[in-house]
Amino acid sequence: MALQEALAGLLSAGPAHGYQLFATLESELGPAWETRQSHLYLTLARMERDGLVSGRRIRQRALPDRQVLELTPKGRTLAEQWLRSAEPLPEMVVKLAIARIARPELFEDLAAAISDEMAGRLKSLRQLSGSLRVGFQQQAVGLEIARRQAEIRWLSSIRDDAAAILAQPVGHKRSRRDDLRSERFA
Amino acid sequence: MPEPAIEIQGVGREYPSGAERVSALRDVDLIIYPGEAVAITGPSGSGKTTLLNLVAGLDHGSSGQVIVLGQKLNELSERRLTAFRAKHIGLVFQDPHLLPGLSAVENVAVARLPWGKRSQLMSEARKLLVALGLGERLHHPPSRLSAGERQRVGLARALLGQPQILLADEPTGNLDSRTTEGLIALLTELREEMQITLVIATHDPAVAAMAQRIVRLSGGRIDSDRSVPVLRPVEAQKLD
Repeated sequence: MALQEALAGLLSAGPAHGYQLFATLESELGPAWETRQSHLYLTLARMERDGLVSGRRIRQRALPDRQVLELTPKGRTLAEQWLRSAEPLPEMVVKLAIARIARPELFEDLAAAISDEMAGRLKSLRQLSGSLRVGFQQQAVGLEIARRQAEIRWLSSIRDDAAAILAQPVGHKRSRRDDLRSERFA
Repeated sequence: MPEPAIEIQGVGREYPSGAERVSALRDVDLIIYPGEAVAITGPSGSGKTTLLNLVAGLDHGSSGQVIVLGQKLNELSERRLTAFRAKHIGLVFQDPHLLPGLSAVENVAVARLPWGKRSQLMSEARKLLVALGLGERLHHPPSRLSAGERQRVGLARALLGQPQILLADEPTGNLDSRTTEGLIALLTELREEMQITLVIATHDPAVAAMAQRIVRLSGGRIDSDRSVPVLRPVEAQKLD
């Protein structure tokens, strides 16, 4: 879900290579969200083809060349639009996780904007629920209401704890290979 | 722009706590227009109840002023303030504090006895309870009512005399989730029908979502004041 936008969001903090992006997503969002490495590399290739990122090769002594990616202006626009929009709601966790590390100054406003969206939907669902009388419709909408309620309470706790959340260290999942290589890109 | 129903200007409220003074509210400015539904939310101790008490005239600010329906509350004597509140403001609390020796309908009418004729108040109280779905419970004492029914009696009491402003402090705090949804639906319907100005203080953001505006307090200050957007309720899932 929204892997391309998530990668653009991460790259808005600065250039990175593919494995760094994978490791960041895994360490920040795993185990709730799984990132498949092969899918991530395919997505990066597609983003390069579409002019969203540009890559440069870095030579390494004993290992194959590594490609460092950075956003093009077009990619930066994509990242900015995605990180500033409360929609779509299903990917709010991913968006908040990435805003936290790549654009912390947007984090609280983003959480507030998503809360507004959620409150608007909850309110409309309640109005809809009152008008449903047949079959299982009211119960089906009731489940949506319960989901929105849980999400809006979760968002409220995120806003209450925003300062502490922003201060949490960035997760690091590093392979030995990555350690060996990382000094070159420091 | 119409005249505000409630205007809070630079209001602060401090309490003595031992040798120190604790600020429950700090320099709060807020305007609420007639017919608006505004939720005051925030964590425990953020100042929600203090703010509501100031609007109700149950408490006075240490600084600034509160103007309700054009009346500066700090210019009223206690006696005139009580009469003003009885005429214009309905109050709903987390616990409706019903009198145990009185029936539901008597509980609704009793608080306004100093300002009306008993027979007329009882007749209005009956109508309100019927409208709130308690037609079968008019003569039940509080002990024979469920928590949700007791809260509806409290709501009927607040609405007696058709106040222009309804202030509700954690009205769903003692209710289960199903009864909470029922009360939210009722408040929404009543507000639209009676064109009442509703201010609801709640720590629960899912309850706050019933409002048109959500004012969030943090440490006695307004942290945010945001409108709830009008949105399509649900993107239907595809059954394929």
